[in-house]
Amino acid sequence: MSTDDVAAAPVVVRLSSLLGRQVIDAEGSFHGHVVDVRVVQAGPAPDGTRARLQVEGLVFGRRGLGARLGLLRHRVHGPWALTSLARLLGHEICFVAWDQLVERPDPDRRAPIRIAAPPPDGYRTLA
Amino acid sequence: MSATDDPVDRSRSGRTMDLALELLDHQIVDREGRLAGKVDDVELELDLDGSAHVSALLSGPGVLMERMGHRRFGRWRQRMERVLEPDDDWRTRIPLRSVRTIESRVRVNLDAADLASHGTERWVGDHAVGHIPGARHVD
Repeated sequence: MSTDDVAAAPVVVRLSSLLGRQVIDAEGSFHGHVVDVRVVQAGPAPDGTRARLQVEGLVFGRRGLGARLGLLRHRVHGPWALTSLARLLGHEICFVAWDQLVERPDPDRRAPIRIAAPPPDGYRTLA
Repeated sequence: MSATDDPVDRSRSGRTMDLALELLDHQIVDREGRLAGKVDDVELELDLDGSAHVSALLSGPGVLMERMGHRRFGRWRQRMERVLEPDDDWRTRIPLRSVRTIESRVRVNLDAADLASHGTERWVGDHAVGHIPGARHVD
């Protein structure tokens, strides 16, 4: 295999190696852990026959009792006692687009995921 | 090929999916409708332009062991599967082109017997049970 072949070889990473990794911004602030990877159907593949599942970004948040009770996944609308509990226990779950990653995740090391600094109004929240 | 043969229906272009929630641990069903294991992991390919896409689903005991934290055993198990069946494709890896639909179940264009979840059963059948006198009379 030539050097060019090595350079052109695709880098693969497993979903499980991304889940749970720490998420820090470019300034080193901790923002939680990777909870999920969001993909979007991006039309057919280059061969024209298959849909392509393109990675859109990472879902991340702080793990805790709220997450274990499932309060991170969906917004709690009521009754008021549950919304209060969700507000008390549940940290926000956020989304960052894949192109906001400062560097590509290393497949072999569970190093923190580094993302761009948060915009003035913060990262996009999902719940 | 019909539109429904795409992993994700073309009519739902733009559909988003959270992989850990909507794909991981879901049931795989083979072309005959038989249960063929679970989605134990998902392989993402990082493109040179910085983007990434789903390239394959991974299924099998070695993959699951590695994901559950038993990395050395899991990787050894996956190596053994490849050593024992060197002439075959790596059966733990299901390329996305072999995936027909992704819904509550994942339908693939493969036979359950060809996947790693049935690897031990297949190997024992070929190398042990198949040599017992009379075994060839039983399908």
